[in-house]
Amino acid sequence: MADDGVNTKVEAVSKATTETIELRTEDGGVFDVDKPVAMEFLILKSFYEDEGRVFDKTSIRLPNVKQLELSKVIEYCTRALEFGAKSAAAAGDKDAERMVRQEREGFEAEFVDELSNEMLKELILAVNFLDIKEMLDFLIRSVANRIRNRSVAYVRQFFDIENDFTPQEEDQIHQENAWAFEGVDAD
Amino acid sequence: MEASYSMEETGTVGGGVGNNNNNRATITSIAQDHLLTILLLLPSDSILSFSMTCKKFRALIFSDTLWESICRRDWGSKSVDALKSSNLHFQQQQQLPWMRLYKQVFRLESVSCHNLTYPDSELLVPRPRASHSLNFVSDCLVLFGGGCDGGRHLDDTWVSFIGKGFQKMLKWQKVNSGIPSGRFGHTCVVMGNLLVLFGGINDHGSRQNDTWVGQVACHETSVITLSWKLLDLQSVAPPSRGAHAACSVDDRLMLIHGGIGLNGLRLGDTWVLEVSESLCYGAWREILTYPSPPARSGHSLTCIGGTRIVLFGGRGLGYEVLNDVWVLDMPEGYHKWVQIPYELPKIPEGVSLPRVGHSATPIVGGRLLIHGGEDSYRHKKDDFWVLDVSAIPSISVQQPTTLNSRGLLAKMWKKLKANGHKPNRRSFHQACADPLGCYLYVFGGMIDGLVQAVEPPELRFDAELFLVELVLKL
Repeated sequence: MADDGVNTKVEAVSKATTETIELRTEDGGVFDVDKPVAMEFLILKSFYEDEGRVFDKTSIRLPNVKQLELSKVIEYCTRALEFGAKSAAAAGDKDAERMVRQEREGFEAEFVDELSNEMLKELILAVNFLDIKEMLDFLIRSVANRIRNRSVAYVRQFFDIENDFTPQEEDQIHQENAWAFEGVDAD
Repeated sequence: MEASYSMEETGTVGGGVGNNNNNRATITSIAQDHLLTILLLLPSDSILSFSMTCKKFRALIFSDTLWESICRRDWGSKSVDALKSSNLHFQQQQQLPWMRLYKQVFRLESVSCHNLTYPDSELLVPRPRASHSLNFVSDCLVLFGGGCDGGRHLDDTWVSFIGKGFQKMLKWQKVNSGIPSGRFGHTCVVMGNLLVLFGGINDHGSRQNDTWVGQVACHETSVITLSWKLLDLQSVAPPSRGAHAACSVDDRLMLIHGGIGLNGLRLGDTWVLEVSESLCYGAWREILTYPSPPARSGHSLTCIGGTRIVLFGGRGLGYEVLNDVWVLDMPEGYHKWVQIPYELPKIPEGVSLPRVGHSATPIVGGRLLIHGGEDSYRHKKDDFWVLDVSAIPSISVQQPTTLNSRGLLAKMWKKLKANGHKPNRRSFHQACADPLGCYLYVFGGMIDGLVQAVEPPELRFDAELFLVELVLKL
């Protein structure tokens, strides 16, 4: 059923006059999402705009998205739109622009810090499905931060990659690549 | 009247790796689709770790097209484009082996020196000097001014055509004298095809603050001319000085710092010169930031790709010889000096790092090659060090940290072995690199006198020209 806490939050953000779309997740979550935020999901945008559908109060089921992910996506996209507006307002004022950038970075750092690796991966899959370019770019960058300086095993596990090297092959490529690891401690 | 829609099951269809039955994208397929983006944010060791996960990713990552992007990221576009055009010029090959090149540059551990000084005394060569300027511009080596015995200044300009390949024999031509007026301790930087000269001191002890621009013109095969003209300034010029440091930034600006001013006091100010497109006008403005490098002279300023500048060493207000490293990032309209602290005792032979009158030249790979100079006992050096500051994240918000944070400062300093010709120990010499950043030309400077253990130490000027070749091996 709907996560009342999140639903209330979303409704509190939207003003009475803002149009909303109802999104239903595969695990039964129901969200009323502001139109501007929902239009950030290209899968929805093209559904409406490309197909020339009339935007009436319809309910859309998102089969590949769970409610936990959707609530995070809505949170990020709402803040992203706010930062976009602030940035536009600060245009021309270098100091103000920098402040907005720093504020955004602070939010993004906190946002991603709270995510476990599993959650990060689920979010990426959801965002990839919903086709939200900006958020996907952000999550991909966060992935790079997660796997930086990590062992081969860690990277495999993160991306569900199956090792198809023989032990001899592994040894050999390890030696070939040793030059990049000179002076670095083993992980 | 509420309609209900259901979005299609299919997400992005990735490649063959890891797709499940529903045709939904998996984390593995997404990794493949965004591989370049991810790798460009990782240091080379992490990139190779990724390549060791499975055969598919190894094949994807062992691509020279990908490594060209990594070279571009770590060395700068200028370096990569210079290598590409040089390759076209000589070998007409399809593509350079970028992954192998990256590895060679990464593993640089020695240089090879070649003597370029003519034993033949019939040929006209520049006389011994120090605190002159030496630059590589428009395929030529250009030498101007400097000081010689008796504390006298020189005002001659010499040019030698180098062309695209490195040559073992150089022919100097004297192309000018008298303009600009004689001086030593001035600076001269290259901005595109232009030389920009500033300041210096003449043998009356007068410090200057005039700004000159010079252009080389090659007529026919061996006739070279160089025209110098005074730059018309649209704003106030920095206070007069000599023994300051300068570098060109991004081919449109010149940065200067410190030096010894009118009353003999060491300065610690930073100024930027912007030259107009017509090359007739220039405007100076001071950069005021806190903190900033303390006052000093005989130090070095080097631009290592894009808008990142490194300051090193010199002699401070209390006459002490310094070894501090400062980095200035200059993204649009925002400047900040950051000191990079490091511990001398942790660096092998690091005790020899403090120096003044050294040369710091940008070489391929976005690093500095530091050579010579003297220490607080006026002992001159002949060593070669590579200074790598890529570990320090740029203050520009878009820059990711691509280096191993654990080894943050471990690779900052590396002393290189030197083979071949053994140059004299020297200070207040000049060095400049070829456009590829693989060869360094070094000329002149002060070397040890013939009579040892004499107080005060005998000043001896040198006229040796030698070539330093980076030994890039697999």
